[in-house]
Amino acid sequence: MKREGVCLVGYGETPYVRAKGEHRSVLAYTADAVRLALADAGLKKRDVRGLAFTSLANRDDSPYIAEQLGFELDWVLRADYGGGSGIMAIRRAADAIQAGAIDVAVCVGADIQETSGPLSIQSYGRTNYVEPFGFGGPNSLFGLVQRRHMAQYGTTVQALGRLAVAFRHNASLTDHALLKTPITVDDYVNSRPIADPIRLFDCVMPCDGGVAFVVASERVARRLGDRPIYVVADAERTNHGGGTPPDRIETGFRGLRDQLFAGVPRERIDFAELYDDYPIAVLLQLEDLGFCEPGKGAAFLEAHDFTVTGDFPINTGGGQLSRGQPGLAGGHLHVVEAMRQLRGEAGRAQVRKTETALVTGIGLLGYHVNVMVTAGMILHRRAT
Amino acid sequence: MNRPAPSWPLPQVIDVDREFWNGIQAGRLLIPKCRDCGRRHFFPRPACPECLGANLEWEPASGRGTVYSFSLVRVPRAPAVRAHVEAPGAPVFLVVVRVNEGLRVRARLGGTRPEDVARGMPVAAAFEPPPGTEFKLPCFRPV
Repeated sequence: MKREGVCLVGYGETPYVRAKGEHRSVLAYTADAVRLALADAGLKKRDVRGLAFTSLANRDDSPYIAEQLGFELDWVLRADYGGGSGIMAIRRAADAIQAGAIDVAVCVGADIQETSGPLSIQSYGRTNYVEPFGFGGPNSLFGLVQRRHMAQYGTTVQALGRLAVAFRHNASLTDHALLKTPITVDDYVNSRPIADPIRLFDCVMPCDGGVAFVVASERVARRLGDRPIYVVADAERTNHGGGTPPDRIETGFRGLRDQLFAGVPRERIDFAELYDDYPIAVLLQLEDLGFCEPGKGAAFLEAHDFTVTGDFPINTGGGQLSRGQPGLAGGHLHVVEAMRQLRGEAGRAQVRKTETALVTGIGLLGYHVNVMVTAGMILHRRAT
Repeated sequence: MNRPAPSWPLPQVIDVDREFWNGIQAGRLLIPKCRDCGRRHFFPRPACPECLGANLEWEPASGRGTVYSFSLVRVPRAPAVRAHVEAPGAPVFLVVVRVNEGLRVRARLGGTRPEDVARGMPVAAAFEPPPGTEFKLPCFRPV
């Protein structure tokens, strides 16, 4: 759907940390990310009337996060959409802003790699119908998806490797990525098998960190200066296919793309920040969002250059594959990367033309369907 | 039946409140204070709840104050605490004390009988491990 009158006005990222032993708390990362985002936006704490919180390791209800940070709010949300939480939180905040309920909301995600009591956060489906059969985490579930795609369409790991290689190149141009050493397609293909055909370089680098951004009405955004980023279109789809899911290699992006591109044609996208828990997930998005035909993803990967100087830059800061995945804040990371590019702040990784960006989120692996939550958003440097 | 006795619930100390609990173990009531806006707060937070400032410091409090409110807890949630209150002569008071630094601090209240507790009663901080543990908790007592 088209969106009017809603802007992104600030972002904040803590360093991403591969902590051994001693972890900082999710609360500490949350406070730091929120503070940085507000400072970047030029807003005060009292300006914030809405808060959306996302974390896996910290299970606090969102009103307690408001208490712990001292916010008095007219709108609060625990965005529990996995890696889709960043965009889903923006959509909820945008609705509240358009309805006139609030002017300013902060969406924050923070996580650490230490989680206690895995069973306490697992669902019936996983416990009873996945765990007993040799569950190996998301790697094993995406292994199923990728193998099916390879068998059905002849997709090669060499083609998928082009994504990992391009994202690593992009990461090498930034200051903040955890993985910056360039790799080749051969390095990718020869990396250690994890959940065959998923190999090591298909997997994100888990880390600790916090990411926040500020959503504001256009009225507030204009008062703040000349750098607002406009949310011009957004859409979501949960549990694509309902009770009878489609083939495992079709995602909800096929269901949401008409809404997403109704106001802004696909051809106007200058660069994309696509949720990259795995290269195969990026390929599925390119197919289901209509950048290429279903099954033609591998050919599309062979035909395009996804580096920041290429014809279709994707994951300009390295994505989660090279930047690191700060838990459920991983979805927030892509939003920040898009803002950084649109504001011209990406340094050596800056893409030349950055008017219009596509950002996606994927959340929660289903046990019947492949991914539960899919969400997309188009950002523009000016109102359209 | 030879089950281990349930253990008293203790705080799961994190970076945000480690200084506070270290202070309690050392017999000191430390209150977080924001270097940016100068205001104190309690309980310990990841940032100043007034200004979101990151520069917090720990200021020793007198530990003196008055009872702001209290509750005699008759059916505690935790099994160990329930076993404790079901034994005779061991009341568990949850108390809120307005300490002389102006903040309200939640803690236990000890050394008193139910009929003697009153709002406004002057108290001082003590630091006592609950039954079966060695980890001290703040526990106010009448002065």
